[in-house]
Amino acid sequence: MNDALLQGALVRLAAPNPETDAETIAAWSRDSEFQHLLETGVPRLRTAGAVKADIVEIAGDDKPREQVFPFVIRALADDQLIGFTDLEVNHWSQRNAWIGIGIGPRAFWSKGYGTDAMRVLMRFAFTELNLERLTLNVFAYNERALRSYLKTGFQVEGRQRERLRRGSRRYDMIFMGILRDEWHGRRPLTC
Amino acid sequence: MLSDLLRGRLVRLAAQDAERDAATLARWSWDSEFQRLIDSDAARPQTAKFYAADVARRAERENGFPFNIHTLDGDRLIGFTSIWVINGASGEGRVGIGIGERANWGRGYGTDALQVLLGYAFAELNLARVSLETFAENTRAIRSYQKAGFTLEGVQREWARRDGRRGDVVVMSILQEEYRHDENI
Amino acid sequence: MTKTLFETERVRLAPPDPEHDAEVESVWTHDSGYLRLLDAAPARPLSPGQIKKKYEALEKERDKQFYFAVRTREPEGAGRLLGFVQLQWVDWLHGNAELRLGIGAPADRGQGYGTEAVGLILRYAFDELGLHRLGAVTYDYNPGAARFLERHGFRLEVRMRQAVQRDFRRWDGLHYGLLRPEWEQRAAGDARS
Repeated sequence: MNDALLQGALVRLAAPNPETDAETIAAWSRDSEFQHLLETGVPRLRTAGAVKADIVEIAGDDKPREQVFPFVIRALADDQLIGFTDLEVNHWSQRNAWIGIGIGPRAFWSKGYGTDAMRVLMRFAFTELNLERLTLNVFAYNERALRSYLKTGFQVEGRQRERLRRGSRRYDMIFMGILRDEWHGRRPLTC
Repeated sequence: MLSDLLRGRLVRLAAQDAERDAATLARWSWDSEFQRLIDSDAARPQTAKFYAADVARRAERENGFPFNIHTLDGDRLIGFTSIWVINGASGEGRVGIGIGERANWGRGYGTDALQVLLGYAFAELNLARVSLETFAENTRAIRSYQKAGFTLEGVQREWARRDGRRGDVVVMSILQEEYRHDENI
Repeated sequence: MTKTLFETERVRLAPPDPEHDAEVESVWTHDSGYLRLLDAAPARPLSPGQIKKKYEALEKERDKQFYFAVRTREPEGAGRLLGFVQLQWVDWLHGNAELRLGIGAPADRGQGYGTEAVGLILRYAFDELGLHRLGAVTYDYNPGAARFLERHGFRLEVRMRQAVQRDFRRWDGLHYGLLRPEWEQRAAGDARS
């Protein structure tokens, strides 16, 4: 039995806390490159109040949504809040989930934090939620994320052509998936 | 693949309609024996208005699948049955069933409805296990559940109090492998 | 010659008529095959009352989706309800939407009604709404839908392996896409021929 289900080598996953986390997350929205990597929507500057309201809606105690599992990512070294990640199960009967992940501060990009967080989330999905597959999509221009997902075992399953418009150019949206057996095959035996 | 999931040999399962069914549900609630067998709440007759709201509320719940039971012959509304996904991650479901009028008891409708519901539970909701609870004294229902493939799993002793005595509740269950074995799937 | 946006020889697109359509749609939802072909959600039959609530909810989302009833085109009267066609999750910023289509009664399928309806909705999506691309999802237990999409110019873009489970096995999800220039070329080809 793994006691530290939500703990990795560099990060841990934690419950979002509207009281303490909103300001940090709102600050990330000021980085428009971060926004362009994460969201298809119009980049908007967000206030701490708006982010707090979002967190309350998604993660609030009074109306837990059974099928959405939102987390914040904290660096183990000093417990700093460095990102967020979530799992969405559309229908339990399908036994698959969509994953989203974002690392906010640039200082933490390309240093393995995202990959570590993804590994923790995958372990949670396959051993705790008993899912059969995970799905995610990534913008074709987000090479850093694509490399990270490939490293954790996701396979490219195709691309929606010209799905995104940025400026005058169009980009594909890449779809990736990993099956339970594939994840099992990759795990070190001492996990 | 597309065999009709909701149709059995004697009955079919259909959507509940809050407005249309309320009067029938209210009428059944006046049969106190039916009320006492269906659940452990104190038997009380309810109005159609109560049932209209009750049905509407249940229909909103994403992890609940309530159905009416209609006879294939004559398309008569004779009861209700439902399955609740009580743990999505573990694939655990809970069923309940009630046939409203005594004239329809003991005619195989309940067993058939349950078999249709189990097909839905295992082939569409992909559950691993389905369980139910019923009063130990409800021997007619227990036989019906056994015919549908349920196994007696345990007894909750002296769970409910009626007529000055406490009664046991039995828990019964069926696993997906057992269902597939029984149905040769 | 300008074709009308909402009519062909045999079908027309129309707003749903809750008073009459809800009963018909309710019957379709009691055919689990119909719902299973349509999407991955557990096949759940709906009462006419629930269908009406669904129409009301669709009305509220008028800026994000476009829902049309597909009816037979009759010289008099509203015509018989055949099915529906819908553009959902309209993403105005990127010019993308998802296409859904269903013909309710098995006897009405394979009659060419779907082809006429999809021709109308594609013109609406690309010409009228100015979208850049449409997506459509089906599953590999529904080869008819895959063939239908391919016949209308959609290309298979993503195979989501073992995405859904039905009848004790897993099936792939198939994501198709059609780009505006591809549609324009086909439409020009049709006009010439």
